[in-house]
Amino acid sequence: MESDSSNNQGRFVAWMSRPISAFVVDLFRIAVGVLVSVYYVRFFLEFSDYTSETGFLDHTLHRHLFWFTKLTLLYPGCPDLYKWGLLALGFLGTLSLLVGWRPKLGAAVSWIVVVSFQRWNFAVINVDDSSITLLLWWMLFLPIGHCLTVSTRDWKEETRWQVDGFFVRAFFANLFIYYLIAGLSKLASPLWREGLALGVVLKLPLARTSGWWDLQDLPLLWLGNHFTLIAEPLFPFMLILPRGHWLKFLGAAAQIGFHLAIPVTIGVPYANITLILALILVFHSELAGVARRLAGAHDSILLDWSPPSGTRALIAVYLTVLTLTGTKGIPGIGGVNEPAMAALYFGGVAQEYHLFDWIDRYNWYVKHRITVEPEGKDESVVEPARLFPGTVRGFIVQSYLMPVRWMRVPRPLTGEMRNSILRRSAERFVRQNRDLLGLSGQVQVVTTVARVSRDNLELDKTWRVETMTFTYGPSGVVDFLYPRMPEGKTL
Amino acid sequence: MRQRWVMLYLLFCLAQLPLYYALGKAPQGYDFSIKRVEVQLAKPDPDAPKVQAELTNASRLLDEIPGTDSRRARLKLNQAIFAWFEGKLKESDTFFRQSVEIFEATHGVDSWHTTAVNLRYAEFLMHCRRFPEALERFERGTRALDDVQGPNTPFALRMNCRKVMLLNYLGRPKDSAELAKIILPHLTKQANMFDEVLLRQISGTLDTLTRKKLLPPSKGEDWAETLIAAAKRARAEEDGSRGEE
Repeated sequence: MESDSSNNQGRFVAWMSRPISAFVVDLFRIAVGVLVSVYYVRFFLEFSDYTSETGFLDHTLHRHLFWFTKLTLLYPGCPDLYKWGLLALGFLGTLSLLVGWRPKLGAAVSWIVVVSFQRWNFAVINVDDSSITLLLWWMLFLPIGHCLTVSTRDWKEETRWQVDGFFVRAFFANLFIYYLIAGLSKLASPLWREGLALGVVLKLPLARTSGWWDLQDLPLLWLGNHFTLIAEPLFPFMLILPRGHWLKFLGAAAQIGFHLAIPVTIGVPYANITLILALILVFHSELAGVARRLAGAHDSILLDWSPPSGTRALIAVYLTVLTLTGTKGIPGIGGVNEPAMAALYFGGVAQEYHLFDWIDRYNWYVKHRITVEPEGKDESVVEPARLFPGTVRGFIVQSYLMPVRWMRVPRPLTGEMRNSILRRSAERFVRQNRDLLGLSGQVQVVTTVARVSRDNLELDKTWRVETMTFTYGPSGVVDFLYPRMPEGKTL
Repeated sequence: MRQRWVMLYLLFCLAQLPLYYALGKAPQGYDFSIKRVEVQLAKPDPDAPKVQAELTNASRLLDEIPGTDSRRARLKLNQAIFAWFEGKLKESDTFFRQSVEIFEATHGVDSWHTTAVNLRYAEFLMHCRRFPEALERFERGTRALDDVQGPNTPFALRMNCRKVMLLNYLGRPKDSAELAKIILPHLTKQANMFDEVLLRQISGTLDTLTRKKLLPPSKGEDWAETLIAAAKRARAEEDGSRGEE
């Protein structure tokens, strides 16, 4: 019996390890390097809004609320120079991955830095961030660095090289779990089942095209909604189709269209581009064929590379735990979700594939009207984007002002979080708009709020909320007139 | 990745366990305890010894969390509700007051939590027949309630029903009728969201206001009949639309 099972295991490992084009794997490495580099550039650009001590997040409070984010390379009060230095180090790691010079070491450095910054800014982290972590994590295992590196002299020769394909196929298993959880979890959402979810998502301020859609577009959006419901759980099956199968090409075309449409209309570009890039590996044999034809190569050489012992078992455990994270809400086994999430978090590869199935809860529409009244001048209305950036992170920051919790802030500490974001957004607004505000005056933010639901797709039912009113002076925000902040409490 | 790196990585993952245990023991333990209390207190017949034990545990864990935050206010609120359930009204009053004070100190007077506790406290004061104080607490809460939940939500309506009754008890029938006229269309539409006890309580006040000719007469024999019939209709409609789905 024992020998039977070890034979089966051996056969399974051999099947998983069938050779794969090293050239294509490194093509994927380069694409990942480019994407992660762009991600770092965004981190640099958003530095003052989130990572710095003067941005939207009070990092001391943040560590108090999310006690599990304390294990990171950053610490409260660390100077900006140190943070910039760490980011630069991570960026260099990414460049080394991109050019293929010590790519695994580069990926490891970049991964540690990314995980540290994601923990530091945990309150505003979303699927874009976890997709980057995922790519870097897989770079540690995939057989990269053989081809298309700084030491490449003859790329044509490299198109002949093949490597052990175990981790590439394990990566496919990860993609399988990704799509299956993302697709099936949507079925639990009434808005998705009714065909309204896409319409609702596009109404939210997080969508790039918010405000472009109305009731007459509903049939088109209904089709898009149902296309998502059907296609998303089917995409992973493309992974098991044989080379050159027409369904595989059709699936890829649908997948590319799907993953391009989301960043164009809604946002979340990194997660979607990650999944488009994964097609490089999905089409490894087709691409290898093309590369060989271009290079005029006819035979192949199997490189002497095998996964370090222990890594296969590690990945098997990772994939099992990852599968368990998809059990959220399933009667009987749903409780496994949180320990599984925690285990992934310990390993620095926290993943959450419940994408947009939260739409029934987070369907809050908010539109701010900001009135500024500089002393001695007439009042005027300014663009809401001056207060909160019109990005997904900007939307997440605002969610803490509503009765929703993007990241689960322990109750009732949501009040501390809300006050902190109000004060910091006011301070940021004053700092960035001095030319408009003058030395002193008053700012009022009134928000039109609505729940975008089946009965309120046209946003007929809205209500107005005074979000904040504050006065400012030469040194910044002087006083909050509404809401009145706790006395003697520094936020 | 060489083998030693895999080992190091695994060691690193495992080594975090005691650290996370130390960091999370008090805040997580507190959260679990207080949630168990709230589950019990939401039941019609809570398990009193269990609630007491969990409250003691939550209080002990709270002392281990550095700094002062609004978690203590949540504890006090639950202590207040439990003391109310036990019939210890004086003790409950003290806990309610402390909860409001801590929320005001940590969140500010206009915050949602301060409002919510004020409204709960107002219900308690109404139960103790301390009507003027109850009205004051209700009035403190209305604005933030509408801001957060939107107008005419079931919770806001429940609070406004209490306010209608309270204004009438306090000899302000005109104010009571004015508010009743505002909430009645919404109350009729959402009557299925309320239990019969509350509907009967508010109906008593509405009948009084009708007798004083401050409100138009109800469609049924009295307001209780009208509202309970509306609740049944709304429930039937809800079941019907569920069936269609």
